[in-house]
Amino acid sequence: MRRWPFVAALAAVAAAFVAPQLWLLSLSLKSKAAVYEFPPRWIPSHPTAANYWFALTSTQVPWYLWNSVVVALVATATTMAIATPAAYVLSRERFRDRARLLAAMLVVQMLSPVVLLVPIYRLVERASLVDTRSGLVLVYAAMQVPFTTWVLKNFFDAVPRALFEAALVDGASRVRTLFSIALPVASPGLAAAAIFNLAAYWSEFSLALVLLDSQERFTMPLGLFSFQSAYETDWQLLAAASFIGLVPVMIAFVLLQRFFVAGLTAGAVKG
Amino acid sequence: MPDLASAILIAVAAESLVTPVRIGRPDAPTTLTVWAQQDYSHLAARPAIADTFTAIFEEWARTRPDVQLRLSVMPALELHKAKLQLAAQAGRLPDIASIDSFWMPLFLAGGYLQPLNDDWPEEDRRDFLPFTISTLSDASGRVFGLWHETDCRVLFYRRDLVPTPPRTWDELIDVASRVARERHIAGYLYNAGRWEATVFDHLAMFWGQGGELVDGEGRPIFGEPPHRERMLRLFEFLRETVRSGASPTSVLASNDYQQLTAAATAGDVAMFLGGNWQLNDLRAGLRAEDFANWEIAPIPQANGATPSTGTGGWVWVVFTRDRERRRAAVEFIRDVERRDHAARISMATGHLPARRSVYRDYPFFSRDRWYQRFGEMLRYGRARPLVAVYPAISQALQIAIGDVISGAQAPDAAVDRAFDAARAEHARLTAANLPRARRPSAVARAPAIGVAILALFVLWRVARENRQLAVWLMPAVALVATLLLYPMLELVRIAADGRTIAALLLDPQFRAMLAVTLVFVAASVTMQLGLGLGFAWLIDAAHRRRAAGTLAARVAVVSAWVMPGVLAGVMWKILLIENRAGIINYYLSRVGAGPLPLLSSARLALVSVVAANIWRGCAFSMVLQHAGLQRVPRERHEAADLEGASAWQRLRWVMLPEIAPVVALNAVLITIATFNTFDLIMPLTGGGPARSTEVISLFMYRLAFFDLDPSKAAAVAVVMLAVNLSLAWVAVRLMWRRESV
Repeated sequence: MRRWPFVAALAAVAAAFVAPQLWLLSLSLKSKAAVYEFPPRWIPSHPTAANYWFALTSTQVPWYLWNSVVVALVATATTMAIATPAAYVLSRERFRDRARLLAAMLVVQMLSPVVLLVPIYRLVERASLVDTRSGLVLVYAAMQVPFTTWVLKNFFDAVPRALFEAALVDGASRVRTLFSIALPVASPGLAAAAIFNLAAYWSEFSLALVLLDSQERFTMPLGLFSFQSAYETDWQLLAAASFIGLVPVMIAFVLLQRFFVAGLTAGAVKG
Repeated sequence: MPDLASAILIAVAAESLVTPVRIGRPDAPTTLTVWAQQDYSHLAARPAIADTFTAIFEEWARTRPDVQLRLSVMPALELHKAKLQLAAQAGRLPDIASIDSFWMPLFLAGGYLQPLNDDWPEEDRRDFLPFTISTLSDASGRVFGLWHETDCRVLFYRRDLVPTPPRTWDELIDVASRVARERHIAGYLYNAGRWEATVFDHLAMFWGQGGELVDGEGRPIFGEPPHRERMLRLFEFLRETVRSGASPTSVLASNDYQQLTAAATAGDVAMFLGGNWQLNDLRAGLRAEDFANWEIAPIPQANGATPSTGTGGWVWVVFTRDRERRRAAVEFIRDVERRDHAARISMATGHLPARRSVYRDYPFFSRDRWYQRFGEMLRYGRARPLVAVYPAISQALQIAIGDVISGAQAPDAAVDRAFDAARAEHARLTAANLPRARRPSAVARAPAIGVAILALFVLWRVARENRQLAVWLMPAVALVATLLLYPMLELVRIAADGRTIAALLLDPQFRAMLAVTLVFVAASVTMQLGLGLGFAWLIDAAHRRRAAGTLAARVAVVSAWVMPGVLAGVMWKILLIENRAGIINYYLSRVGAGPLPLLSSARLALVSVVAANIWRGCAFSMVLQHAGLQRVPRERHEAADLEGASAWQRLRWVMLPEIAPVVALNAVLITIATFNTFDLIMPLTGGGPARSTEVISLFMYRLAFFDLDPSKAAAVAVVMLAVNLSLAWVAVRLMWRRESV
């Protein structure tokens, strides 16, 4: 059977998805005048790092990056710490409301935070946590706990039963079994869930938009949103700032491609 | 890594007295929060302005080591206003803010603004243009703001294309359509996107005919005779600009003066309606001989109308009630607006100074022929009415103008609808000002009590079986109950309290939005499913033939899905640019199909938004369906090969039986995701032009956080919640079948 039509088709698909990102990169390396060059060039004739330098030294972009790093890391840690015990119990133990709890988690996990913007804003405001990173982290954690619990439960399910029985014979407590058997064996799953959460928090926009006021606390998506109206016709600057926000995601993605796809399917289809 | 980054950040920031988020020493005991304007700060996009402010702020920081300012610059005007209003309601206003002069009534009414008289001597106040003081004063002479600069609107035109400037609308359309025909450039550009300038720029054409928006009591009258006729004539003129070919439909996407400047510097326009400050932008962006072609003229008017122009400007206001902080705040804004500073700033911004002495004592202004002309125009200049209903009027007229130009509504229908909206808002404001008896409501606590009981009940049932298990489940249950379940019930309560759900179904705006949402969801979901299946099949088939590149193609498709939604929106906005910097339009015109108004035409904007969403969402379908295809046993494929099955037969009999459940689940999951789309559309179109891409989540967000109508927003959100939960329930049913829990 001929192979080349398939290779050509695959190349066309890949190009359709990569070309826009490459165009962004190309623009970010151009001067303002070169942006309007006609016909447009994919490879800048005089590539410059000036846009990146400007974004990193003369705008709030470093603050946006730093806030995103802090919020994503702390929120992921919180989510994992809260979801792990619940997932473990739901996987290992049998009790009356177990199936109901699992079903509830699954339903709630699909709800978008956009739907709840109004009551969540009011709640956070009453707790005097508007415009604080802690408020954002708490809300984020709540949003991802159901999904994370569900995913982790599936990974714990896959740990061989014999290992637990051995621990039981040794008389190990539940805490010890979790730490010495379940977590190490399920660590690829934990990593997948953590990475998935990091990516979700790095990208989240609607809650940050509503819960943050001060630019020194903006996360990257929110910062980029305000950046785009501030430098609306400086496309090359906007492209550079966007690319700065994209690089961490892409590095994580390329390194951990397998986990991303695992995280993508874990909640929906059990492979 | 993060520690290193923070160390560097802190080290760099501590070095200088002025950083992007702080002015003054980081250890100064008094901290004032400032919400400023991006273009009126050291973070302005234009280097000349940024440098001027950096110098002024540095000097101030050196003289005041005891005070530091925490600075937030608000670039998106509408967002700035909305955030301030929310902050006012919640009592967390900044100490100082720079606001548009026409927002004053919003904050004056609530008593949030502090009088500046005590710390601002009378003799200095007298140096300011009289209208800047009188407009901001109450009856007892208390001044509530310091007007920093003013401006006026003018017609910019190129003398090489337009030898004599048009004085009437007919002349304007005549010459503009001729230039457009002969030169293939835009004859006449103006703001018609969804923002304040779309209305303000054109008010001069309404005022020039004697039109009035409100009467002496602040009641809207623009839809009553004789003002209705005048508004109608304006609308007809605007429609004619596009119909006659004088203006391209891209004016509908014009929501920034910079877009006009960009067109002018690119040589793409013969005339535009702009602001006086754009003169500097033109001078900076054009070669000297090209700039020499540009000239200014009064705004063209209807036959027999008088000249007019809108004068606006921004105002420093102080919100802090604490006496000491207020003094420090006023000292800061007075220092920024010192005579020599004000002169330097206006030289950089190109705006018109508000201090009379600056015009008199600085040759830059007194000798300059442009400033002399602007000075003449300021004489018949007029500010917008400082009434609380103005923003609502403006919003209604923005929508109306967009609809008239795009042809979605006839001018008379548009005027009437805008007038109805403005009157309704006026009635709401008048009613809201009356002291409302707040009934102590037991219902208000019901959601909290209900959720608490439910959570405790669940934990209690678990604890009865095994106490330890309840402890392990508690954190997750508590968090989910507080921040997910409680908000859901609270949402229903807010909506039910306002009794808005029934009214919503009759609201024409709601129905129009539903249509947009439906188109968006249906188109996105079918295309994502189809393309996802296509890509999955392609990768699977190529893999079976051991063709190279399957992994690369997978990674490429999934990389689009990994990209944060806001970023995808920004990226697509860049790809879809309508001038010569836009790459998609370049290729469209290469194949003879463009350039097209991809973001400014109502219909194409929706197509663009759908395309961007498909681009981002295909990966999810592809990955799911690829997983499904891989479960097709190899022998079945081999059997099909032997029998020489056609592609269709193979799809129908070999693949579909295996993947049908996956496709069904996939369809439900992406319907949920698409229905809630928010982050992609906000930066891409913001719901515009007019409301042609405003899907349900944006509609709800706008109601809640711009129109400050939480009960109506909650009603919309309840609709979203119902759709979300029922789809989620379907998805769980589909999943449950496959799971052995």
